Amino acid sequence: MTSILKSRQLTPKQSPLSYEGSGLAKSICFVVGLVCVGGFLVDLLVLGMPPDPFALEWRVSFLQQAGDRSIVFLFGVALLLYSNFDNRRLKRPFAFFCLATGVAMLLSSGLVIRDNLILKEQAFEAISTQEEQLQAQIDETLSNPDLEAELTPGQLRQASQEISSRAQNLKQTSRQGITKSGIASLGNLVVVGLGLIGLSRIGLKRR
Amino acid sequence: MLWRRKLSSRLCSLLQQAIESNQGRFSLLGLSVGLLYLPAWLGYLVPQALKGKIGWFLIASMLFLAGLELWKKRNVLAQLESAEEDRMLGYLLISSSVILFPFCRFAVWPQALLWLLTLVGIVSSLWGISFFRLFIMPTFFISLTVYPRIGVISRFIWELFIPYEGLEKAMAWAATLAMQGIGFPAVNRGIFITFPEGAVEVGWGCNGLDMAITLAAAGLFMGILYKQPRNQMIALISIAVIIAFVANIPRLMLVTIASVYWGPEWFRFWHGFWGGQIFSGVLFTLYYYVVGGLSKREAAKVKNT
Repeated sequence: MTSILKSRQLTPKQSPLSYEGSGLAKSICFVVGLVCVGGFLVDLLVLGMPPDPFALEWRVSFLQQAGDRSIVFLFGVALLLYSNFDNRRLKRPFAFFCLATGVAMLLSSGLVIRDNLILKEQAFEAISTQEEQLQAQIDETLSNPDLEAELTPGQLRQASQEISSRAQNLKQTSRQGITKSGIASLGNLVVVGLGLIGLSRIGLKRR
Repeated sequence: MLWRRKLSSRLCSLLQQAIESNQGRFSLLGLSVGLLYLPAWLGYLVPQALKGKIGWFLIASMLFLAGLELWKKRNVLAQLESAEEDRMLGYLLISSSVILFPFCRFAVWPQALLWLLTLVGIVSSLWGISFFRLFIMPTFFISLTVYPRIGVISRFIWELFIPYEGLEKAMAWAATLAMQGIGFPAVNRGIFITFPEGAVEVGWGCNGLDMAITLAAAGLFMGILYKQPRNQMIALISIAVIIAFVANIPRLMLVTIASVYWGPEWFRFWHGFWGGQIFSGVLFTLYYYVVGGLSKREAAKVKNT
């Protein structure tokens, strides 16, 4: 009986409940943060597994999907930073790592823009060559002396106009699609990069 | 030649000061990126200015206004100090830009991007991130001047939000209506204005957006220079946009008539450099008088009440 009372009197010296609570929060944050970062890394590995960084398609899809998932990474990094905030030895290198990753993400936005521009050009070229082929066929038919009876030159000309307008529309939609996906991955990379830089500044601050 | 010697000795002492500290060294490194980028920047801007495009005016005004604001608040600027984390960020940005810059010479935009990052790095390492909070207007203006092709950016943003050829179609429709009103046999079909004698296509350059942006920017600059309140500024800008779009209709009519009835010579005149100059001259005069008249009425209202 007395021993229990004693032990009760001993512990409440520095408000054990709140200390335990923050320790508990930190351990939970540590685990969840580790899971988030680890899950992101696994995703990255799976996404980019046959690595082919000089191929345009691989780079575009990799950066886009990495950008899509990077919010999870940011969340995990924030939790890890919180759980290690009292650990001087771990905090600073971790903050430097955040800073470098954030800047790298910002810089990779340039790569995204470049790849998107090239992709757009390629799509345009493909459409243009198809259109030219069709137009050449029509020209050939027009210059053919024994034109079939049910095909008047007027009809052919109308078809040619149709083709060019359709090619224009196709270009428009493909451009819009490429631009949209490019902006989505660009925005993700820039926002998460800025977020990582902000986190690193919190970690680097000396008080 | 005394001022020249003074200037050079001042520059030398500044350089010596800069080289002594880490901040100065990194800033110089960053400025060298700017120096390398400058020929590409000017190489785009100067030919465009000689062609009669007005982008250089926007860029010069923005730089001027940003510089004015910085100069006015130079006491605040001198008190700003960068913390360690600011310097780290700045050094990292500057050095990565310097490393990547040689590989980015294939076009203007990546150089502009790296120059922007370098500028952010220099500012952050010298004055800290709080600079961006204290100097919002100069930050905004200077970052807009980094890329000289403002028209490309505005077109990109415009086409992101507005349906394809939306403005061109609207302009062609309005011009057709106006032509019909004064008795021309015009018919509107998409972006084409057709006549029995021929047809005119309303392209991107004829939709009046560039002029609207220029005039709106002029309104914004005037508002900032004369320290107008925010409501007044919004009014100045919206009036500018409305005037530019409305005035584009008579211009389209004129160019159309020139193309269809007067022959290619006149079309080239009105559609080219001189026509553009005359049009912007008329537009700015119109804007000046409208704003002047409105502000007089406002003043009278204030007196009456």
